[in-house]
Amino acid sequence: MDKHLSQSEFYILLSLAIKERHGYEIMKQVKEDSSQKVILGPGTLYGSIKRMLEGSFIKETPGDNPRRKYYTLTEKGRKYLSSELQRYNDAVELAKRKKLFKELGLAKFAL
Amino acid sequence: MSKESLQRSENIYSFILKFYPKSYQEHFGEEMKFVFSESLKDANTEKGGVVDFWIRTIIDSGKSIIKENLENRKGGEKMKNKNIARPLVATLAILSVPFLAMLISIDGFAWSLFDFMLMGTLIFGTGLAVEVANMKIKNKNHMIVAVAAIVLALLVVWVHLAVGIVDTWPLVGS
Repeated sequence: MDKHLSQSEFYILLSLAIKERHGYEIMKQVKEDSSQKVILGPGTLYGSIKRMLEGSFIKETPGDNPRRKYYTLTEKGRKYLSSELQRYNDAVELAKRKKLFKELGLAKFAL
Repeated sequence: MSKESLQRSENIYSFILKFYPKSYQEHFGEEMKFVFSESLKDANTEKGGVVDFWIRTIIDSGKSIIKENLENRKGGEKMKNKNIARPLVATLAILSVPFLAMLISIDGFAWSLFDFMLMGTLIFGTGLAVEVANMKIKNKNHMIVAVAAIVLALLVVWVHLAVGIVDTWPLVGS
C-alpha cells in the first residue's frame, strides 16, 4: 500500500511511537507535538482512530475502563510511521541541497 | 466551571453523539464523552474559553458525523445525493438575501467574504444535521425536538457571533 497519512493520522501515530496512550492523552500529545497547530476534537480523533484500527496501524490494548481505552502501534504502524518520517526527511534534505529554504525565504531552516 | 454546567454540557454532547452510526457510538461513545469532558475543563482555563471550545466542537462534530454516516456501509440508511443537495440549495438561497441586499446597497449589510464563508458553513452544517436527524430518528415528535435543538444551536452561535453573549452564556454558569 502506498497511501500517505492525513496530518491528523500522522500526528496520532507519532504520539504512539514511544508509548501506548488513551484518546485524551493522544489529543494532548498531538497538540503539543504540532505546537498547537493541530487540535483534534473527539470527532476527528476517533474517526482517525477507527480508520487506523481498520487498517491495522494501531491496536487497542485490553483495559477495564471503557472511557479510557489504550492504543498502541502495531508493527505495520511502526513501519508506516518510519517510512513517512523518512519521506519528510528526504524532502528536507533535497530542499537543503537545492538551497530552497533560502530561495523561499525560510533562512532559519537552512542549517 | 460548576458541576451543574459541566453535567449540562455533557448531556448536550451525549445528544450530539446520537447522530453517529450506532456501531460507532457503541465502540467510541464513552471515550468521546471522556475526551469532551476533559477538553471542556481545559478550555475553561484557556484563552477563548468555553465559547470557542463549543464552536470548535460543533464544527468538529458536524464534519465527523457526516463523514462517519457516509462511510457506514453496514446496514442502516446511507446518505444520498438529495440529502446533501437540499441543504446546499437552502444555504445558497439564504445567503442570496444578504448578497442581493449588498448589491442594491441596503444599509446594514456589509458582509465580507469571510462572513459569507462562515455563515455558509454554519447553515450548511445545520442543514446536514437536520437531514441526518430525519434519517435516523423514526419517532416524529423526537425528530421535531431534535430539529428544533439543531436550529436553536445555530441561532445561538449566530447571535453570539453577531453581538457576543459570553456574559449570559448559560453553559459557563454565573
